[in-house]
Amino acid sequence: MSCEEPTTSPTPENNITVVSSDGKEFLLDLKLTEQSETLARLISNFEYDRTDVKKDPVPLGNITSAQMQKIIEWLQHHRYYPKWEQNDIHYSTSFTFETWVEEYLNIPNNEMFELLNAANYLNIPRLFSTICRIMASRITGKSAEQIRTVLNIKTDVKNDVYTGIPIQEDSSSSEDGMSEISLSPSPPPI
Amino acid sequence: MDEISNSPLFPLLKLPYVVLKNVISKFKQREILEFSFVSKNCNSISKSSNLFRFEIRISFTKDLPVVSLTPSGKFRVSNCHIGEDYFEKREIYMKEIVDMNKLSDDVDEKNLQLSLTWADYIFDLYHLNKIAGIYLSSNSSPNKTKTIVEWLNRLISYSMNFLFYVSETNDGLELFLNRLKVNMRTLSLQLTVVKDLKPFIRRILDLDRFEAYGKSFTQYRYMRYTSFTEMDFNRSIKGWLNGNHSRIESLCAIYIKSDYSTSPVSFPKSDGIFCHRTSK
Repeated sequence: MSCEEPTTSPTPENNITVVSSDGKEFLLDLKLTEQSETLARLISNFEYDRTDVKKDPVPLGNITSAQMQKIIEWLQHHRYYPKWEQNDIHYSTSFTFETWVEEYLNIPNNEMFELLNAANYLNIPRLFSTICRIMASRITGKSAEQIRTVLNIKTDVKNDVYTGIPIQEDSSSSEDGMSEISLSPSPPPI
Repeated sequence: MDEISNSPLFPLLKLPYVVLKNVISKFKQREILEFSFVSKNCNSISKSSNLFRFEIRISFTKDLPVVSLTPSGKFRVSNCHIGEDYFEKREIYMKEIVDMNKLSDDVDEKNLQLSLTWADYIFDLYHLNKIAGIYLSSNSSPNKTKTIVEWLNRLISYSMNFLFYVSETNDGLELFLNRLKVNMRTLSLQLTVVKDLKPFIRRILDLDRFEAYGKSFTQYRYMRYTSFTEMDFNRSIKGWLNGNHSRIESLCAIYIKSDYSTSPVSFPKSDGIFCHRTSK
């Protein structure tokens, strides 16, 4: 599914300003914020959709400017998509993605990790679900041993389930191997 | 692309719990099983995730079990099957949790014990609260039948709906039903029978027989390829109209004829009757 959207430039009446954790300001069209349940609820609570209400910048302490840029790209692309509806629990997960999404998420794992957390924080269900499906698709058809490698999980099972041979704990495949990923972005400069 | 392929691995377990649970909920059936083998931590995460969306069917008709896990209401023969080949791969894992020294030297017995352990593992992992189907062959040895019934009796506390597919009925089914402690009111029975077992079919249809056990079928008895004839049916219904089987108030019978000779796809032509007996 793809939607061609007309380009519209935000005006003060129909946009809000969000501030990333590193202090960069982004002007967001209110139409885009509808895709984020967190932002939509905030706008509704503060009545920022009214033209006579003064709109203060919204601080997003958990989102860096790079993540925000990426998220805005997603919101722009899905601007005219129908509202996301959660499948019922009996659905069968689909691992097919449109080309744009595959290109959009063709990013290093550390960026994917942060984007997933950002999508969760901003509650953007379509993005959140898509990244979850991408991650699930990466282990399709893989054995437990291969999953350990792909997801960088240290085993606590004594023997390999296939060979019965005791598994050597390898420090290079420990769960701490991603220490360079910043789980909590540094606070914005004062 | 080089940058992406050389990027650090994805630290799944460092995700917040709600996010992690969502990722796992997108795993397909086989991957959930594999993930549970990755580590004890992954096993407990899998168990605490929402995996209720699958229906389980287990076949004990062969030496090794075949497990079918499909989204609810979407059972197809081609859907996810965890077959004998997969079980054999996992046998070493089974050895981790079963004391092999306590198992019988008999190969069949050992296979059965491992099969049930395997089934228990899957039930535990998926938090299943009902069994969509148990496939059994009543040609199995009495010992195998007894062991499976005892295993099923353990599960009954949380099994709400049973549907049994029994092939080639004989005394094995009799033994099975006699030992099974499931409430017959929750039992559906699907029989695939051969023509020369007609006397047995008549006994199955004898509703008083089940009332004698203090139980009665209130779900379905579905028979395929039976030689249950129009005469048999008329005799049963006449008996009922004359006051037999007093606990049955209504009777619905549907006749389905499938023509497999002209097309691989069957188009059932159905006709049915519904009777309600009023008290005199």
